[in-house]
Amino acid sequence: MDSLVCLTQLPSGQQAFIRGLFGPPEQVHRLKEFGLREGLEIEVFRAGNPCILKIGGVSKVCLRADTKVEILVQPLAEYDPVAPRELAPQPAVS
Amino acid sequence: MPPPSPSRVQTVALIGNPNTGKSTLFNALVGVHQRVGNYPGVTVEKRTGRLTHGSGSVEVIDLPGTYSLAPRSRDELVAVELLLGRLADTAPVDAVLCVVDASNLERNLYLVSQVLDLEIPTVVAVNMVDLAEREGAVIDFLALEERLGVPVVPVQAHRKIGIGVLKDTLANTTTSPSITGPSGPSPSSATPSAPPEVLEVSESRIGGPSRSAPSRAVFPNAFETETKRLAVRAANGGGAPLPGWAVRRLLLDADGLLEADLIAAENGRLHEALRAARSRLAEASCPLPEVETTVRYTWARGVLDGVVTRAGERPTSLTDHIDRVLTHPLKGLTVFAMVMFVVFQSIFAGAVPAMEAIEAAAGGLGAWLEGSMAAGPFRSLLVDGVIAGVGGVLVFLPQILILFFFIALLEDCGYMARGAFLMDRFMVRVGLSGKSFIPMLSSFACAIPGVMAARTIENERDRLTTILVAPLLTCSARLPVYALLIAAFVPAHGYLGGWVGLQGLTLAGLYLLGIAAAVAAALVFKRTLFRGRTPAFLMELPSYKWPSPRTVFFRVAERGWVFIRCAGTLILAVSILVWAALYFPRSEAVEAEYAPQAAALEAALADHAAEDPRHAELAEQLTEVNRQWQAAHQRQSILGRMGRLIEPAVEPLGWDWRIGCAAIASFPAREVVVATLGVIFAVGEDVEDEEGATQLSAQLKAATWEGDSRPLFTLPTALSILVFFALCAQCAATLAVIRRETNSWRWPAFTFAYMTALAYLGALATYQIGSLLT
Repeated sequence: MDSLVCLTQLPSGQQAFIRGLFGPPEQVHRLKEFGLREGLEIEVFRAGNPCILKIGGVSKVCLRADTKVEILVQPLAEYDPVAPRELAPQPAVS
Repeated sequence: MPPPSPSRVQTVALIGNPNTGKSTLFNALVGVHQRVGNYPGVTVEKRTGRLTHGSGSVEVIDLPGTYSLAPRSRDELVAVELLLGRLADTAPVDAVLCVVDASNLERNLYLVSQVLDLEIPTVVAVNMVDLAEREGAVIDFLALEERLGVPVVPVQAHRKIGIGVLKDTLANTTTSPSITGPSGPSPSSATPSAPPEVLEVSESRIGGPSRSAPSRAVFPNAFETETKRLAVRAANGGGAPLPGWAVRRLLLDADGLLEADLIAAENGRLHEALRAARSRLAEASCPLPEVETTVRYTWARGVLDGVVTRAGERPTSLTDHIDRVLTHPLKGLTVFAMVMFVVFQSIFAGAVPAMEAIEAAAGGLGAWLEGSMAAGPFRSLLVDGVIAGVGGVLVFLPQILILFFFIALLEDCGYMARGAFLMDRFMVRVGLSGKSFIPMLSSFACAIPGVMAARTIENERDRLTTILVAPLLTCSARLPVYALLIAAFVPAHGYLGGWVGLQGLTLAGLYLLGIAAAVAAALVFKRTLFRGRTPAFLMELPSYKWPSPRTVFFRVAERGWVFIRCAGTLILAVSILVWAALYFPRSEAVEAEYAPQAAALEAALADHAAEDPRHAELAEQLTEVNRQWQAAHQRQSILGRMGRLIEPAVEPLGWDWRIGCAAIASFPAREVVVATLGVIFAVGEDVEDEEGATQLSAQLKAATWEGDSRPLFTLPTALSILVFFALCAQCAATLAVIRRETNSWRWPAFTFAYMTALAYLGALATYQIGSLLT
């Protein structure tokens, strides 16, 4: 997707979906276990380094990523507001 | 009522993500029936308590918070080892109580999913449901219970709501390996209980989607195939058969615990098979460890689909409003600075009455013993060794308690994480994270709470660095030393119309020296001893809430007790050692010189009535002789001789053997140097009061090199002593606490060595440069 940007480039108040985490597998895995998985909707509460992210609109986390880790996000403004918010594939639920 | 008890659970492990209110829940469950110990071999705290319910009781073990069963920190390692029943001296647990945060169920279910794999009877407590509701979330607990296949109990730990139901659920949980459901207040039988063998579950699920979300995370076929293959391999290898979850963890956790076991057991063939399986999986586009997060989060989303619904627009929470100010780069820092000012003002001002009371109590006890016991080694041991030594350290207890009261308060209401966020951008320049700030700041009051507060730093390298440099910061115990020497030897020059004094500048300079040394040491340690990439700094910012008095109380009591225990053991031992070194050997010559004098004075004293003016005069003479007597003994004691022995080493610092001796004697606590100088220069011990201090100043100014008329204390010498005491590790209590917190003698020994080296070199440079300039 061409609309992907680095998380660090987002201004405060910007909402986005996490689309990819790249870097040393161990570090990426740790971020994911912390809840920062692909497909997650986040809001930048306070930009900067470290930054504060809101996850799921409720809980806040503080993050200062290793310089070798790149978090690519898709800003929410690119979306049709009525489109489903969760774009990641859903598990097989019939 | 409950079924017969043989299958009743005896021990329950409490596990959950950090910041899920786990400790609050633990306190609510077990109340005061708790104790804190350490796991063997590590300093991770082991908190256990006894939960009593109608017909019996259950042992609850509060595990350190963790996000995953693939452990990274030492805390997480302990949690995992205990769950896997691998901890020596701790029996495997019968059941697991998993605490999850209602506001962040998805991430919390990641850990739940890993726990469910273990096939231990599990109960899930959904905490802080009130907060989630306030944020507009509606949770269908029955549906959640049905999908997870284990009892789910909503609770509000801080208000003790739901605790009774949770206790009943735990009491009714049975130890039978696979049936975890048929208890609790719920119709959980709708979901089939997990079959005993995970591999079978997954296999049966692979065929086609079941009618609801699976109660366990489903791994891809390729992964399951490798798991089975590896399980067969392990069984054929002759070792104990590995349960399904163990094989899975073995495969997932590169360099994990179980793999370390394989290496330790020299099971090379299985290890080879493991590596082959991993590379096959990587080729089959099932990369490790990524597959675990993908699979488990997919499962978690499936479980939560329709379980959590949002009622309308989410209102901007109060926490968000507060955070707009408190995390603001400017406003937030201003508030933080004010909070810190209030905290430290309270520590220094608020602790004074209590400190004076402890000092008075120790002094009174000493005086009473002195009056009621015959003179001799035993009285001296009790008065000068035990009471003076332990009392001198216990004096800091009020400061420590007040500091921990504030730390517990700020932590429990959620502000501490904001402070760490604000300070992170500064601390990162030293190679540390925001979490090191409070421990460092605390060290300006006393290094002991600073070292203890470093427990909140998850990153082991950051934690050790913080612990190692914290004693460099100027603690309040250095002030008596600074005050004495600065007042005596730094001229009271004023600059800028008297607003800035040289004495004040020297004091400020010593504070700066401590900070600069700590920063430099931290930078060096992070580049040498604790080299390694800085991992991402991840920290949750919990929603604000009113602090729970219970939690704050337990925290403060716990820390205070740690310190008292330390003072009662290690510090006591060191005090006795130094006392002995200053007391023994008793010289015959000294006795022969002073005993007749004292006896004559005592006899004369007995001849004079108390009203006689000669009586007071004689009494004064007697005190003076006794003082000289004691000083003579100390000069030729083991310590006195050591002072002479090290004289060549301290001479380049501008010191004579007496100062060297005082420096050694101040090992238990650096403020002792004031009293020791008093003793060695035979002023008397009462240097604490104003008259005594002035007298000591005068004595020190008059002191000369032995056999020489050169004044001993010149400005360079005084400055060299100041620099030495600014940088040295003369504080047995701090070293004892470092030993406790790192659970090894290595780190206190290292701290002592590097700080002493730094202090020596600093003092050397100060004296030599100072001598050149003057």
